[in-house]
Amino acid sequence: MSKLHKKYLSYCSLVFLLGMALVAALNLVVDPFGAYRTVNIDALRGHRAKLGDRIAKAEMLRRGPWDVVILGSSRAQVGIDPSDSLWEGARVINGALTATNLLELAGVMEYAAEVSRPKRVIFMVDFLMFDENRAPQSGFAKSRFNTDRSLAEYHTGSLLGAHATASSWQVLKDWARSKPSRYDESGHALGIGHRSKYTARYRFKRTLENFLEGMYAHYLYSPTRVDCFRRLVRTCLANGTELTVAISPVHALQLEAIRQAGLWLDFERFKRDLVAVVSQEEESFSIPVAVWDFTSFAGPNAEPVPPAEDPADMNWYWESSHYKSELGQLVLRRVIGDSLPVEDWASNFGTRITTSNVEEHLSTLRRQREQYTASNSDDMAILDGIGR
Amino acid sequence: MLFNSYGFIFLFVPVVVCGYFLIHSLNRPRTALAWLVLCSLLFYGWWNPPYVLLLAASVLANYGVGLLLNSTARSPNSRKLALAAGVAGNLALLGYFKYANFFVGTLGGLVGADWTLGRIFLPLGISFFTFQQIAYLVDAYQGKVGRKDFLSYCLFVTFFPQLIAGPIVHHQEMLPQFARSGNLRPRPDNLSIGVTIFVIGLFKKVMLADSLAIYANAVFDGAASGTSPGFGEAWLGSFCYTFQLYFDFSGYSDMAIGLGRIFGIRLPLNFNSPYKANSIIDFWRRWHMTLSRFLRDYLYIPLGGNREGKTRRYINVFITMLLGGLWHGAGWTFVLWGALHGVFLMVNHAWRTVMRSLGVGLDRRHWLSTATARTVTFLAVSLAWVLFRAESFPVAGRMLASMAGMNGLSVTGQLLEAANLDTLKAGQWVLAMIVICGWAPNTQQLLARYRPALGYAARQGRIAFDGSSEPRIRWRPTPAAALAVAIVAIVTIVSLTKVSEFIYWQF
Repeated sequence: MSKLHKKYLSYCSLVFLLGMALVAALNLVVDPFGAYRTVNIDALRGHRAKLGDRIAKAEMLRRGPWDVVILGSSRAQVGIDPSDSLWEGARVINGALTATNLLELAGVMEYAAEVSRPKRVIFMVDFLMFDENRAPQSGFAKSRFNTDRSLAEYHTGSLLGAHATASSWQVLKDWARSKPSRYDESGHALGIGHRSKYTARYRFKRTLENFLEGMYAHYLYSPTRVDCFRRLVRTCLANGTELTVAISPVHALQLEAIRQAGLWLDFERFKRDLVAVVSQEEESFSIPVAVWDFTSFAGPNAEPVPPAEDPADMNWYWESSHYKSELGQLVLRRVIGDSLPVEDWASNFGTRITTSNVEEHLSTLRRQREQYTASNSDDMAILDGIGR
Repeated sequence: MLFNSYGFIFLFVPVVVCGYFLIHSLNRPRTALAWLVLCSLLFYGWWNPPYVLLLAASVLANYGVGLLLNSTARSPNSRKLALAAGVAGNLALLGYFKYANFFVGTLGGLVGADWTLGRIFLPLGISFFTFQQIAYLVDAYQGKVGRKDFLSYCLFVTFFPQLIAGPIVHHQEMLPQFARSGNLRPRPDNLSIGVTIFVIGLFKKVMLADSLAIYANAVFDGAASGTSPGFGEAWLGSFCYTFQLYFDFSGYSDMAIGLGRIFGIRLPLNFNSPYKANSIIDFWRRWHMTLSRFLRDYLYIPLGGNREGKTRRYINVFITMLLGGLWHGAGWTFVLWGALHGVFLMVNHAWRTVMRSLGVGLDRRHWLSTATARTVTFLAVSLAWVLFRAESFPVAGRMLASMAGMNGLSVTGQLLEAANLDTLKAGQWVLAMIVICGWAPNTQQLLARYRPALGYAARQGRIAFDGSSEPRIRWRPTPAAALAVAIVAIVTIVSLTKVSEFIYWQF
């Protein structure tokens, strides 16, 4: 009897250890998050679909030092390209996270300051990050951003976890199908994935529906998120990092959706809070911080949406919420102080706001809105019937 | 440290087991027990180190009172006083950590004030180790204990597999095991049986309970945020929670029993396919069996049990269940849940009395009446779990109103959709769980030949009589079983990405 049990234990241990070793080897070799880079297989490069994950972004940050870190949400992840010639050889990383909030981003900034001490941070902030109901994503807890997680746990999860294993499998499948990854090695999302196969108007409608019936319907502007923003600013300034805060551009229809959701007062409060916090921290650290607002009802933000059946793409926007890298280039040139070699409207794209001009700026936007809604009835029709 | 964490599985357990076996190989069984106590305290302290002192103080104080109670030289009055002080001390500790804010808040509410004692951290497992020690003191007073050595007593209370969430072990079933050092010698059969039971428990927790939790949480959290679920999703949410709770707790109990067995220590059975119960009385003989046993022996029977007439018996049942509800949590929803089960039990007893008076036998049943009885029992239990899970009465009310069709009879709803969950998939989960809980053999049936837990062998006949057939699949230490268990372990451990706490750890 004892022999049988001994045999059972031997078989069981052998199969278990062999299985675990195989899983670990798969995740180590395929390395879906770029966490190990011990075995560099060139064929798999360009197929790592999870390079936009929080685990991968933390690993990228850890592999600094970085001269410039872009922080923000999916808007910055899609719109800001670290390979832009503007950077002139500086090491730039797109550290923006999908569906994020300020709770996460304050942690990301602390992690970045600790592991890579960037010289400059461009924080592409947006209204959704201040939503109380927007909880941290599960990937954040699994990543190195989560300082409560021990290294042993992190590596066990990265080598043996289901998420890592499923991601490795995905990389191998994409490699076999020659399907390229949506993310490059610097964390920049190359487009908006499968959604790009639909017409621009359809994408606008679906996006606005998602916001009005989902995120904006349950939106709750949160003072605790404002505190997290302050934490982020302080971390930068305390580490001698130059900080630029820029409110991500969104299409005018997206702003109109905010208004229709009854959140316009919160939206204006968000901008007031940004400049107020920055002003207080500037004073406290005696370091200047620029705040830019790229939301407006004019210029590229008012780009007409092609008619329903028109397959033509837009110049600046994927859909109402996500801008293209071309617009991201304009944003960067504006905040870095370069000239804008484009039409007249571009010189008005983006306004530097402070506590002294924010009220005037908000009034200007209100006026712009009236003009936009009066003269763009065709595009405004996209919002008809959504969220009511 | 959670049972379902990498640190526990890959570091803590291997170190404890290797140390235990090594010390035994040096022929030092008492030192091996001391090693287990030390590791158990480390396990407890991992969560909140200062509370190890609380646990140690509780163990020391109760052992001291136990010595007083065992002393025949003391007068009956002084022994009675020692018992009263011991029980009161235990209840005071539990009362402070678990119920102080609840009672103060309730009192404040009555006078329109917002009273609170500030945040009090509930020490893990306090409800469990308090009950175990109260039982020890009561039995010591009744002369059923005898003189026990301190090391064995320490291990009886702190043994890490059962320390946090039971089973609520009884000194009479544990202390004799510690005294028989031959039992505790490392044996391959104990190791293989223990590992197998642990893997089954881990699978239940990680693959079943945690998967069901996603659906249950989406519906209950949605209801908590003020949205009324649709009819279909309210039922699905309720059923998902019903099965989540079962697999969570029975998974934990299996893991505890398996871990105990690795060291040659048999823990009592805590679950016996409760959703196969034919009645609420039967349900409480199958669900959290060690708690039912404690409540029966140390509350229901001292209250008078069924010795003082039918009316008093019903009152005793009701009080027992009411306090059983309160034991689960400091909240009125738990009290109401306990009261509801008290009423269910009263109705069940009354029904049996009526049936007996009509000459209808309840022992031999037609399959249809068995199926009906099981279905009614399951539905009653599931409805009551809504109160158990809901954070407040308004949330429970929202759920129950939706389940009653008061918000329409739509199959789908917005809560699952808002959480990006598929209603159809939730339904498939529920159906699969009904099949597993209704027909599949449980862990102890699979391992029946190896007496997996205390109290099981005696129940085998009854289980078969209750309609659950003897399983065709029986575990044996064969290469095929080794392969199956290893694969289950691999799949489960790979899925351990999101470590989630056991529901009963909060009680």
